[in-house]
Amino acid sequence: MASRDEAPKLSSSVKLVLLGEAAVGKSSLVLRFVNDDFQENKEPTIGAAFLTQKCALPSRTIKFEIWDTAGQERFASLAPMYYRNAQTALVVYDITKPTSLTKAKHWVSELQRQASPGIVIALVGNKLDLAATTASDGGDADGGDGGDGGDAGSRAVLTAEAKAYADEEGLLFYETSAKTGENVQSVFEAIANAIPENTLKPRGGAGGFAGSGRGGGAGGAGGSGGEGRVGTAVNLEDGVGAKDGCAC
Amino acid sequence: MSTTSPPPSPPSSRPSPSASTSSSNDDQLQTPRASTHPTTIALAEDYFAPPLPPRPSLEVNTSNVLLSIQSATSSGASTPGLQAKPTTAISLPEGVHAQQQDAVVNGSGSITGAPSFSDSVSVNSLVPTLSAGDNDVESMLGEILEEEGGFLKARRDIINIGGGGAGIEEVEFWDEGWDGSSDDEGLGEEELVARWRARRKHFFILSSAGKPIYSRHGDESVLSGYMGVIQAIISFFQDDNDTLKSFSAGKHRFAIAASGPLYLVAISSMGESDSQLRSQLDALYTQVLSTLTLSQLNKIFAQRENFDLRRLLGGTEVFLDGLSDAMTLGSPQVLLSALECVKMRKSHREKINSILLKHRSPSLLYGLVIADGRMVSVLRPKRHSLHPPDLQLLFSMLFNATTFRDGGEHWTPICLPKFNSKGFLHAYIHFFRKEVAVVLISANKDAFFEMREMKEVVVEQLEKAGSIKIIEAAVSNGRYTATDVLSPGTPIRHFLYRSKNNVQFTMPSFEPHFYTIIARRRLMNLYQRLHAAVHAKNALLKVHHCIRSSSVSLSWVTPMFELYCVAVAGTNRATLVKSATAIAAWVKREEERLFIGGVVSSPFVHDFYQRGSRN
Repeated sequence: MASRDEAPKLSSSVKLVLLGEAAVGKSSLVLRFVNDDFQENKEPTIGAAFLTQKCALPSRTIKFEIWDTAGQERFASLAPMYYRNAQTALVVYDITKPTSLTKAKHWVSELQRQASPGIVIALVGNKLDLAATTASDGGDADGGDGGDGGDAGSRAVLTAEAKAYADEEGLLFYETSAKTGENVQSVFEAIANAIPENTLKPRGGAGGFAGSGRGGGAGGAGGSGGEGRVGTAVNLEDGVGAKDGCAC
Repeated sequence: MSTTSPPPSPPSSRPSPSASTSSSNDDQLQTPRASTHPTTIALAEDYFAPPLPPRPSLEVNTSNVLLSIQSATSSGASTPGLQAKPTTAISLPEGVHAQQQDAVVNGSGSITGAPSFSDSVSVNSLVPTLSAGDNDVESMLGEILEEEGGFLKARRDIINIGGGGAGIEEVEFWDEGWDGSSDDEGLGEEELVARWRARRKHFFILSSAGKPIYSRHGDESVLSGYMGVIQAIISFFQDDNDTLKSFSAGKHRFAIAASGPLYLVAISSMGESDSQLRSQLDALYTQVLSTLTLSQLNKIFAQRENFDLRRLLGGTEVFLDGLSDAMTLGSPQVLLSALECVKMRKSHREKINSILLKHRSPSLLYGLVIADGRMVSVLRPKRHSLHPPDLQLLFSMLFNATTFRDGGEHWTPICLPKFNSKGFLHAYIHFFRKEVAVVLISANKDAFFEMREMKEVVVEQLEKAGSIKIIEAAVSNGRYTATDVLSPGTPIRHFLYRSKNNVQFTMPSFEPHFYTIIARRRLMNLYQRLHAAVHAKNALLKVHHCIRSSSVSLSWVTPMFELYCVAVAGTNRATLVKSATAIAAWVKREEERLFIGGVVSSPFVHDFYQRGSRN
């Protein structure tokens, strides 16, 4: 158990968290990755869903423990619970909805401030299948309106723009379609490959859930048995306050 | 905001609710499409000066007027005579809002300034009057709509439940597609509004400032004006420290609950009593609280009266929709304020109980095994009861929506308002079989992995003990039938038995006699009426026998139970009574299989803690 990466064929658990605005397709990405399935009009996630999926790499097997969080703002204050100790995060936006990229940028900077140092972040533009009708220029993209833009189904965030941001921040970057499956597997493989060896630890035996913040270990952030320590009571009010501010 | 009169209607005078309402709806009220079909104005109020003191009545004057109110209270003389032509035009799309200001003043020249309604108009006791004769009924929403378009009529199934001319029009409530489905695409706004109005039941939630928060049907464009008018009506009475609780407009009963900073409104033409509608509103309110907590709700609106709560409720519409639809279909759970258990042998249930108990983890508050919307087993701390409304909430979220039913593991904050309306608990929810779920609730938000581990062990043990097979068999076999309980030839078609001690109920399968949704809806409607009869405020009824052309029914209330049974038409009283007695005896005999003893809301220490310890 204690042995770290000595074993020749490694099997490691990786804690992954999905973040992003509501309705960008986080759950659909996971559903595609885990079950190779897609549902139209999926009901919104409430709280968070937990899923696992293995990803076989040439040198090792990664078992993703995936926290698929709800995108609604009222759950924002719960997010630290899910990204704490996460070794990797998928920050998802909707390529037909510019505001979702803005929200994604907020998540990225929060992760950079608060999550484990060394966390691997991937920026993912989802709904690539809707990109068929591309906006001709950036002007459209900026002018694109929120929800309705999504339904209209044309690209409103240029690949180059998001890519430039991702490069600047040192993020992995992909555009995906959970609907067609395009690039979904690639994202997770890329993440699996990007995780530094030294942050991986062998999977615990059965019952290894005991306690907590498993998967921890990234840099100094990990601490085992760490659940419940941070005194942040579940406090949706924070979220409210924030929302309140921009509500008008 | 304010109200307006439809253009075609004569000038009118009326109490103006406008002063107190929020201005936020102004823009929406300006909706253009007004003049297109003036006759479909939704609701127009007509306040009429009562000639006689005791019963200020509100009568209909014009054919345009759709709503008449009569106050049954009697403080007569002081009642300001208020006579008005249609004033509070609730019709948004008619957009006729311009004239409203002057509408306040003219008309019959009687009192107009708004809040001069004295306490005499206690809406609490409003009685529906259709004083202008049946013309009013004719002009009720539904009929108007039928005139508007034959397709509406075609979508409706008219059913006469029984005597008294109480015809119930059943709407195909499961058809909820109009706001999104393709067959609406060609429809103009009028048609959308018409279809919206044709619904037999509506639920609205709005803030006390009149901001729309939720509606089961219709979108923003249809709704916002109505919300404003609802708010106006309610606040008009509130200005006089009066509380509007309900009123009627033709066949439609309006029930209003002012809960904290929210107004909840039910509009139904399905014949529920006020208290039944109000308990439905309570269920919706509980759902809202479960998302936000009461303290947060109050705080939000204390800070900003104008807050748009939809932002915070985002994603929970599916739960409100699921609950609304269940209550429209007719929910025995909500009607009886009770829960149902999966019927199984006592020893089987005890086995499950003991597995839950044995493997409970330290952070666990409540643990439940639930199947097919019914309880299998409930584990709770000795000093914490589980309240039926909280459980109903949970059941509704699990079974009236598909959110949690994807086979995945979920971890979600949830407020159980009767347990503690101020804070969140955290629920681990996993449907480990298609219809079977484990729900583990903890006060610790970081307890996910602990709950998950407990679930794994529990499911493993249940599997080993053969309990899962038993549960699945119980679910797939469905409920017992009336003929299982009584002799094969029994005239009893269905019954509801509510055990008062256990706060649980049991009933036979809806099949074969109430297989279709319409038939089930009719049955539930009958139960609603029976329930209302024995629960009316001044009712001292213990036994209520009701003969209708389609059925014969009996309600029987004792200190221990409530029993409602429905038999085929023509069943004689002696047979009915004999059957009812037999049902009661059967339930008593089967009590330990039908109900979970001492768990729900029991003041007693739950005894399976003791029993469990022997394992």
